[in-house]
Amino acid sequence: MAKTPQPQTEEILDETREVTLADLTRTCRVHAEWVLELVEEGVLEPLQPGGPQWRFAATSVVRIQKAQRLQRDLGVNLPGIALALELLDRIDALEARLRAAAVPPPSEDAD
Amino acid sequence: MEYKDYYKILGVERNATQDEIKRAYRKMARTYHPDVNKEAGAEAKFKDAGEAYEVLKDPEKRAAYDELGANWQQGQEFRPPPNWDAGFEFSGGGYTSADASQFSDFFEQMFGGMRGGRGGGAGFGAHREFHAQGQDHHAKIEIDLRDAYAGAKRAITLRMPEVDAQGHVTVKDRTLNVTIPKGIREGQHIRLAGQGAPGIGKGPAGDLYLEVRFAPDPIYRVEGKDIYLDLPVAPWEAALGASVKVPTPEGPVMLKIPPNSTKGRTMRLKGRGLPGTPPGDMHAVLKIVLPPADTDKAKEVYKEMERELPFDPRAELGV
Repeated sequence: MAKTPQPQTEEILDETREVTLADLTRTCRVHAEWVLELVEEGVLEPLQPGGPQWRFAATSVVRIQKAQRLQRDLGVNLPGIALALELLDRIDALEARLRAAAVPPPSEDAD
Repeated sequence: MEYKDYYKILGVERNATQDEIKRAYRKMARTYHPDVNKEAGAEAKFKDAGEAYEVLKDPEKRAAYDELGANWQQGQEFRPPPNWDAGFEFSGGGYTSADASQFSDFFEQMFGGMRGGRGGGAGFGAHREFHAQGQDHHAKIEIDLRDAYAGAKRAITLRMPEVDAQGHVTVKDRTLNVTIPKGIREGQHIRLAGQGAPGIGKGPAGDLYLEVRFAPDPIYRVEGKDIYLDLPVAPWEAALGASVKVPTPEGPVMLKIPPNSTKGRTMRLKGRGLPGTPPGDMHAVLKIVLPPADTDKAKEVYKEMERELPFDPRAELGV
């Protein structure tokens, strides 16, 4: 039962692309209520919180999926998810800085 | 098929209590969760622990597994004895964890039969209509820094199990052509709609997410949108100032070194980082390289500096 490949659509999930709440729930297959809870907890931030319709950076897709995995795999509650994501962001930033700084060669024994 | 020692995987004794098993699993899950631990091998350990826990947390499955005996070794070639599971009641049935399709052949052989086919849903009875969207798949794609500057096309090959009409599982290679857009950064994701696992029944296919990683570059280091370069300069270039030729991923440019520059001084080349709006910057970190004193002439010049310059590099150390 070989399926013919569907036409391929690519979407880059970066900060410059915007998605709606409906896009997020469809793409991540989550309830809008859960996205709202993530916003309440500060895990996600709408681009213009006061606007008529919430829009999010496309990177939110990856963030929601990470939150889902943490909840499902580790049984972490919402404040725990928020804390874990914040700490993971900081680790990512620190590791990027560590990579950007040249690592000194190993010491040689002095005579 | 290889025997899996679920107790060894979780690091518990065979007579461990359910609580001890749970604690051991929780700890391993936190340590090796692929979102938490980026090290190679972490994901495999996480999956092994998940599979082990799936069996040992369920007293029925655990009892059936224990029935195999304690003499098997992890990785040993294994064939289940006939009717090994006779006499055990399996409530719930099969696997319950969301990523069960990733479990080992060993698990599949021992416990998969209770649910029917694997992954694709081919085993569901014909009388029961069931539709669901296929799972999302995640993969990493490594690109060169240059690809992020210019954009690129990449053919990537993914291996994935497919279930045919007879319910047999075969591994198929799939090649996808992916367009890497100019300005992509490390850690960003590309979503390919409908390229994940096939749907169950009439459900749509899942999506494929590619996480972008940069291959280590021989001269540039990357942090977000910015790139860093160690720029070797001669002592007189640093001391007297100079205009030197510097490589950038888009071709060489001239860079002015101010007089009296010291090691580690960092010169910013605005907008020479990764493309974007606004683009990132490039940073050239000065590294002073001494000419070797390997000729009489070179030695003479060093000796002249020693004689002529009142200079104590260790003045601040107080010795």
